[in-house]
Amino acid sequence: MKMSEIKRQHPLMIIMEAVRSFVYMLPPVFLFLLSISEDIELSAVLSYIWILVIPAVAFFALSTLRWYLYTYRYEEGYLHIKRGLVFKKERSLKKERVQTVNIRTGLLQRLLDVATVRIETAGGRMESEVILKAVKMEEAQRIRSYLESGPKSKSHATDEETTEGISGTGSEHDTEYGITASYVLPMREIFLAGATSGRFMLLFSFIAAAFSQFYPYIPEEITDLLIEKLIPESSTDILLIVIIVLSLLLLSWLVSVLAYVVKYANFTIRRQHEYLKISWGLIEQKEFTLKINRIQALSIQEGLFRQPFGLCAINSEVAGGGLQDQEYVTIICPLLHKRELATFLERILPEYKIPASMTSVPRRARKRYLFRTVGIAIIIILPLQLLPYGWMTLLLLLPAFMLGLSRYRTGATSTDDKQLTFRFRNINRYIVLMMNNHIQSLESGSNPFQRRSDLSNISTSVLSSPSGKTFHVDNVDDREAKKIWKWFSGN
Amino acid sequence: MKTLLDNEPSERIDPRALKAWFIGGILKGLVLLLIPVVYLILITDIFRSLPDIWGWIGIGVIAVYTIWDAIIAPQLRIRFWRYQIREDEIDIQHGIFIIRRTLIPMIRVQHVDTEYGPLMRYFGLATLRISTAATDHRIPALSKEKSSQLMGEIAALARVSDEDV
Repeated sequence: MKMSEIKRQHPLMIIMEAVRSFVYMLPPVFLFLLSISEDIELSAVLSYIWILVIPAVAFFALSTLRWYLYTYRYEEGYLHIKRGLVFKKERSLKKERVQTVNIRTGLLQRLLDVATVRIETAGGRMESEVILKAVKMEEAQRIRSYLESGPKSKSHATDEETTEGISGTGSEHDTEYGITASYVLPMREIFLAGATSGRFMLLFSFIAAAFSQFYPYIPEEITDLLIEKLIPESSTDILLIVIIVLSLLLLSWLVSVLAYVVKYANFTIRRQHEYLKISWGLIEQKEFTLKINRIQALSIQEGLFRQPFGLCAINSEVAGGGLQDQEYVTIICPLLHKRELATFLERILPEYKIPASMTSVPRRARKRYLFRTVGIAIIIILPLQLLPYGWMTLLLLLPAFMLGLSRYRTGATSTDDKQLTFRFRNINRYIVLMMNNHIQSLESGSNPFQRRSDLSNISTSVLSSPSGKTFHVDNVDDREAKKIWKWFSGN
Repeated sequence: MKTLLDNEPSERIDPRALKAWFIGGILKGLVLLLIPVVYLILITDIFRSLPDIWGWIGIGVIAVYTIWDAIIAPQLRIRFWRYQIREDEIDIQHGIFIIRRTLIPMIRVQHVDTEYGPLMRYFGLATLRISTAATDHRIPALSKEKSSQLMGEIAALARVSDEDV
């Protein structure tokens, strides 16, 4: 059995592809026929049905060509794939980068002992996936065992849904962090987290929309009664609307707090060696085990409603997390007082540190930050001036100005031995901690105006499911940018 | 010309790119031109209330855009396009107004692709695409030999300096 020989897939692929293209073509044709159905007779259509043979033959020919041009071969730790009719594509897939190899078989495939092989590399994009539609079952198994038999057999890359945090895999930090620490979020904090989560705004829009639909069906006696009871003699419509809106806001806020508490009650995070075990939930309890080196970045988020109270949340970007769980698993701690942050990290995630001091963006960056937010606000506001009461939108300029100023004040970076830290604000304020070996690429960009004043935007990309994530700090002093560049390049 | 950082990457892309981009730009312009031409010839003929002026404005806009897209932008693009492949990292610089400089450690490289469309193939050019787990980077318009050489080089280097993601 020669490993390096150029191979093609099973010819069943031709039929699969052709049938699929043909089936995809049918609905539009059907819709077209339906739309002109009044003008023509069904029998006339049926007598022309043989025309469908033409696309069928065409698809078949095309699929045959595609099958013929799709070749693959594996050798020396690589899977090489060549394909394409007009746009040729070549892809070399490194064995060590393969995360999972799935083999699936459909009914038709099973009859012919053929399987679909889906090879996923890290990162959840379409591009990072290679699909061999039809190969012989034994060949599929061979490909899988070939790709999964890494020289160092890093089997931990796929999943860590282990019930117990046995740290048997010999990784670098294994002995260094023989820690067991846990943190239980008190119930009071969970209420606070729910109360400040800001989610009620979303809920409010739902409830308000539903209410506006049902309002006409509320019996008039009730509304009349409400109006009489709630509003003194000189009742105005405005007052009624204000009361309805306020009570809906209160209602949605209460509901969202309750939902939050039910969802995140008993939130516990436990560090065991190189695993994090996170569990939460009152009715539906969930537990998740996360291997530390899957954490690609830690972001400390101070929400708009939380910042005034000195509260923050810790989230993490995780590589290769299950899609259905990704909403929850990224939460390391839903609520924490900022003053406890350093101790929390020290106990649970000692790999990451809040830097003692950070380099803020220089003074000359301020006008650029202000220009950005206020400029955009002006562009949005200008056409609105034509509307009645449009001048009221001018009031938006003040928050835009404040946001720009705050963004300028927040912008900061810092480099440590192994850690890069960004501080920035979109609406919420973030501190993002990234390890050197998790940064996929570093980018520095500048427009001519920035170049004139020695400023540049710094951004990093990290791996995070479902796709990569980019963090950036704008208008960093060029000296600091160079420092970060050297830090990343040197290591 | 002031650069982002002191040491620009050393390599430039193939000058044949200018030709490919020029012809590509012209072809795109011609296709786009169909819209106002059809408007002028057919649509204003059918709906007589529509003024011709919009068609002429369209032709003007497309002409200006084509000059930019086929002649000016490629000149600027090729001027700033630089790359360098070192043992442990790939350094790319590109841009027209906003100039971006990207650094990709070799150990992060996940796979390397070469791509070429019909036009590129005619000029013997290819695009090298370097993917990490989270990002995609392109070096456009390398000569075909160069791109396959680089592809092999990067693949070999990326493999040597392999490590956990």
